Parts: sequence; C-alpha cells; structure tokens
Amino acid sequence: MADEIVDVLIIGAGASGAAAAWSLADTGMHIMCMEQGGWTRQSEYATNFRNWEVRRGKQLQSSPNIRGLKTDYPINDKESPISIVNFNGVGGSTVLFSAHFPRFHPSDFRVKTLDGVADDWPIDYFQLEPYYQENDRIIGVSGLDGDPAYPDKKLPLPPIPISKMGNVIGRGFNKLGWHWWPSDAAIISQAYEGREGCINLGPCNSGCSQGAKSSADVSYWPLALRKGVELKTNCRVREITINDQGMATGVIYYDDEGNEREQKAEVVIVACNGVGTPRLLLNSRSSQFPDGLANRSGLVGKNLMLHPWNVMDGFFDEGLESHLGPQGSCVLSQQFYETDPTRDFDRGYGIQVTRGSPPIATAINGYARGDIPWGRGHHEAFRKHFGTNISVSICIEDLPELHNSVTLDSDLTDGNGIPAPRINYRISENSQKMLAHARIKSRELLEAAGAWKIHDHGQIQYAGWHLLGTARMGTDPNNSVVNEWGRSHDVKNLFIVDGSLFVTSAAGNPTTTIQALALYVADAIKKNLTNLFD
Amino acid sequence: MTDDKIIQTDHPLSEDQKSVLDALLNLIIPSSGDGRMPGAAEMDFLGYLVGDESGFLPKLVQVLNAIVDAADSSHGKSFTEINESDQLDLVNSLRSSKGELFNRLTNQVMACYYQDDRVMRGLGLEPRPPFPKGNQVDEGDLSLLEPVRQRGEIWRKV
Ligand SMILES: Cc1cc2nc3c(=O)[nH]c(=O)nc-3n(C[C@H](O)[C@H](O)[C@H](O)COP(=O)(O)OP(=O)(O)OC[C@H]3O[C@@H](n4cnc5c(N)ncnc54)[C@H](O)[C@@H]3O)c2cc1C
Repeated sequence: MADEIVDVLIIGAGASGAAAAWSLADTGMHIMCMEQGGWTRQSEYATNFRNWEVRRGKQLQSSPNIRGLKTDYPINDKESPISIVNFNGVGGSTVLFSAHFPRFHPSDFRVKTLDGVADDWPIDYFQLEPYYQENDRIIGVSGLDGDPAYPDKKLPLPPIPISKMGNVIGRGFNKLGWHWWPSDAAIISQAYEGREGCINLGPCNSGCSQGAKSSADVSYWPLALRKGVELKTNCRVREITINDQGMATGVIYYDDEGNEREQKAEVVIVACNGVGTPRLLLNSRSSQFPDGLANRSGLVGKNLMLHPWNVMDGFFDEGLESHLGPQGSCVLSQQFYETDPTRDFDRGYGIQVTRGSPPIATAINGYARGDIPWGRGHHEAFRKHFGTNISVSICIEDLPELHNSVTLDSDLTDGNGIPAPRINYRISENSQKMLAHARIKSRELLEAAGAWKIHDHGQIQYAGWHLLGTARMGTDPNNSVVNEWGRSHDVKNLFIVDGSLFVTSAAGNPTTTIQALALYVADAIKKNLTNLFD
Repeated sequence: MTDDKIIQTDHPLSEDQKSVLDALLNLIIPSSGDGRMPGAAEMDFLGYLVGDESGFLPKLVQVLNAIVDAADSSHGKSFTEINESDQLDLVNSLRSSKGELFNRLTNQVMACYYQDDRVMRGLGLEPRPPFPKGNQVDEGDLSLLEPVRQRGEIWRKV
C-alpha cells in the first residue's frame, strides 16, 4: 500500500540528511526523512555507568559487523585492509564520531590544477564557506580563531581545553618549528542554544551522555522536527523507484515489522553515506538503469576513499592527566598538509593529536605491547603508562582510484534480504609513501616533545570511518554522478548530499565539509525550486 | 532474590580450583607493597566473569585444570603448595604454549581489576561513572601558539 505522496523524501538521518532536512524545512514543503535505525538515548551511553570502559567495548561498537544490531547491515570488507565503521540510527555515524572538525583548505578543491592529480571539484572553498559557517553556528563548533593554516574563520565557541598534554606536544611542535593549533571540535565547550557544555567525559566515540557533542541527533534533529520535518525511524529503504520518464517516484522500504511498503515523493535525496548510498543506488535497478540508478557514468560505487590512518603513542615522564578530556580533540597540525615537490608523494596529511587511554585500555594495551607485565613490576609499569601518553594520529589524503569500490555482494544480505555492500579497496603506493613519511614525522614530533617511549600502532584496521567519493560531483555527466549542486545527471529529481559527493578526500576528517555540502545542496534546491527539474 | 544472586552463589568452581585461581590472580597482579593497590585475588573475579557474559568461564576452567595437571606432573604437588617462583615458572611455561588463552585471561583480569573501587582510589581516581559529574582538565597554555602566529599564514592560495 502506498503512503501519501511527500514533496521531499530524504533517505538517511545522519550528518548530511539532518542538515538537508533542517535547511529544506524553510520551504514549508512536506519533508520526510526515512532512517533504518532508531533514536539512541544519552542515558544509555557507556559513561553513565560505573563499568563504562567494559561497556563501551560491547555496546555501540563502531563496526557494524561486530555490533550486528537489527538496524545494521553487514558489510563484506574482507578485501580491504581498512574495515568500515559507522552507526545506523538517528544522527548516523555522528552518534559515534569523535567530533574532530577541521575544514578543507581552499587548495583541496583544486588538486588537478595545483598538483596534476585526481580532479578539481566543481565548487570551491569560498562557495562553501557560508555553509561551513552556518553549520558551525547551528551545531555549535568550538575552536580558536586565527589559525594561520586557514583563511580567516570565526567559530561560535571557545576551544576545548588543550590541557597539560596540549602544552607538552605544543612545545614539541614549537621546537621543530611546525604548525599546530587547538582542534576545531563539533563539541560545545560551554552551554549553547539550550544544550549544556562539555564536561570532559572522555570517550566521545561511545556516544556523549552529556549531549555536548554535536551529533546530528542532538543538534540538527530537534530543530528540524520543530520546523515540521517528519522523521520515520526503523524504515529501511530497499530501492528508489522511477517512472517511464526516468524520474524518481519514491521508494520501496521495509517498516519495523518487515512489511514491504511504498512511499511516493516528488524529490528524493539520498544521504546514506559513502557506502550506504552507492549500495542503495546499485540496488535500484530497472530496465532504464540496468547498472543501478543514476549510474550512466558507471561511477556509482567507484573511487571509494577511506583515509588510511596511522597511530603512534608517546609516553612522557610527567603526569599529563591525558586520560581525561574529549578523546579525539586536542590539537592538530597541518605542517605536512600541502604538496611539497621535494617529497616522493603527491598531496599531504594532517596530524591529529588525541588524548591518552583510560585505566583498562592502558592495562590491556600495555600488556599486549609487553610494557605492563604480570607480577611484581605491574604497578610501577602501570603508573608510568597511565595518564602519561599522547597519541599522534595521521590522516592521509587518499586519492580517488576507480578500483577502490563499493559493489553489491552476491551472497551476503541484511535482515530484509537486501544485498550487502562489498568493499574492494587497496592502499595506493602514493598513500603508502605518505604513511611512511608520516611515521617518521610522528616519531620526530614525539621525541621533540620529550617522550621516553614511543609505540607505533601502525596503520589501523578499524579506521574506515570516512566514507567518501562513491557518487562524485562534477560538471561532466561522463565523469561524475551528480552535477555541481548535487543533482543526479541522469535523474533530475534525485539528489545526493552525503560524503559520496567528494571528488577528493583532503587530509582531514570530512564531516564539517559533508554538512556544509548538504546545506549548500539544500540551498541550491531552494533557489531553483521553480525550475528544479529543467 | 535477583537472578544475579542465584548465579553468584551457585559457584562454578570447586574449592581447589578457587584456591588455584586466587594464587594465579595474585601472580598476575599482586598487591602493592605500600598497601595502596590490592591484589587481583581480592576482586570478585568470578562474579565479574558471570556478569560479563563473555563466555570466558569454561576457558578459565581449562586454564585452571592445565595448571593443576602441570603442577602435579612437574612437582607432584598441588599448585598452591609450591613456592611463588616455581608457580611463576610453571605458569610462564603454560603461557608460552597456550598464549591466546592466557592473553584472554589477562585481559579479563585487567578489565575486572581496573574498574574496582579500591583500585580506582589507589590510582587517585573517584570510583564513579564519568557522567554526570564529569572531569576537570587543565585549560592549557594558548600563549604557546605565539611562534605559530608569528610565522604567519601557511595556507596555499589558489
Ligand atoms: C567511530 C567514528 C569516529 C568518527 N570520527 C569522526 C571525526 O572525529 N570527525 C569527522 O569529521 N568524522 C568522523 N567520523 C565520520 C562521520 O561520522 C561521518 O563522516 C558522517 O557521519 C557521515 O555523514 P553522512 O550523512 O554521510 O552519513 P551517516 O552519518 O553515516 O548517516 C547515514 C545514515 O543513513 C542511514 N541509512 C543508510 N542506508 C539506509 C537505507 N537503505 N534506508 C534507510 N536509512 C539508511 C544510516 O542508518 C545512517 O543513519 C567518525 C565516524 C565513526 C564511526
């Protein structure tokens, strides 16, 4: 049975879907968002409980394959050295994200022109800048103005404390003459717009019990719902339907009881992230689109970029209380962000300095490394490793490559029988060279800061948190899936607003750019309402 | 009576196994000489395992049986009757042949130990969940950014 036709149907209530819904609500149209998961409750997050460290390892695991909730879909990522992590529910992956929030640089939109690699974006930094700003204002972003690595930007809230560990690593950066700055964070450092400020609970990536992390469920969604957006949870979309004219007509979805249903819509917006979006488009096959909807370019699911990630820990003599504070946000460095022709790789990487480990993680990881033994030496070794470590993460710019892809698995399905995505991904030679360079520099930094011991965790497997590039934007329909404002080249009432749009990945966490893009696409829809399908 | 209680009083180990477990736990984390940190045997490790639902309990029984057998065949005594240094040698030789099992055991012991109230206090931490009280952290010294400011803009113009 078909439900009443809506003006706009957004699929996915994560970072991008929420931003688009909020923006489009200005039109007074009937906006519906369908989300396969439900709401999570702050009172259920791990940090409410005495045994929070053990709980966080089990509850809301970031790997959907391990988490295995009914609302999750499995992902076959056996052919990838990086495993996909996400969250499926209202707020999407921001429920578990670390809220590190660096913007792209102007150069990131022009890599072909500047460095002769990949492609330029069809838009530039300055077109996106007002949307970055609007997003910062709506969700509440904290940071320190004046970062010389960026064009001037003003953030609504003061920075998250860098704490003692920030001083130590900052002195290390200064000794080397490298850039560093307090991280921009999607965390409200003080009370903001009816939400209480951050109280340094620690593990932002287990869900924020305080609601100070600006995940989309606590930032955009309350506002969008107040503006009249209809959010239907526990509804999993199987496919987008089209008519004879090749226009999207709505979706077929499964409700919470597993009933197959239909929802008609005038406009369909896909916001299922860089894996969920190509999966849905590829599963929406028809005689007009035998290779998947909006896929005449053949690029749906191609060019997956994942940001290979290296982590190195340094241990220091003084007590830094580094186990306290928002785990993912302390300081960053963009010293090696831009291309340098004297290096043996194209483009660059960002350095994200994150906080230390809480007690159980310190003990277990220390034991695994051989640093914290059994027996008499245990307590002394623990004392030397607890609250004294600083973590240096490397986010390298992953360049698009056709063979890195999301396709449909021929065997694996989700609970509704929808084919699961399959990831084929290799870390390129350029990325390997960058990782090698970054390892040397991470060590140099930790040594300059005075670490007495350094442990290189290497490239991390469960680091597929940035899912980008699988339905990229561009002006040429042969070389891109959507146009310069997010509309499918092939289906004129179908839009994409999530990380799939990215032409290149830059060298930093993408969500501020994803949300700015979603606001930009929504604004383009609003501006073009009268001739939207021309 | 709660379900928890029934499980916890329905002891899954024999008295002998329990004594071996206590000795083993104190080999893993003994109490600190200064009395600040308790030994791991002072924790309710079994209660933790039962509540944890990790399914490790049968594995623990395997570990304990292996220790009992090894003590019997190498010393002709029960594990608790041999001295601490021989206990350690014996367990270390088992650790090299059953590494995975002992690693899992160690992780479980660490997880149980490092959330115990006495341990938290010994570390100078408050035994409570992070929420709602939260934590104080030092603001940090933003004047350290002066050299970065002085070097001026570094973003690449396009
Ligand atoms: C552990 C972790 C840490 C991270 N840390 C950071 C960080 O510090 N900084 C940063 O910038 N980014 C970080 N990220 C990434 C960030 O969360 C994502 O970039 C962002 O959420 C992507 O937004 P999105 O809208 O593209 O997708 P998502 O937020 O993933 O939302 C997609 C939504 O679509 C829904 N959906 C998918 N398919 C269907 C379907 N068929 N039917 C109905 N609904 C569907 C999903 O359930 C999901 O809710 C992190 C992610 C993780 C998992």
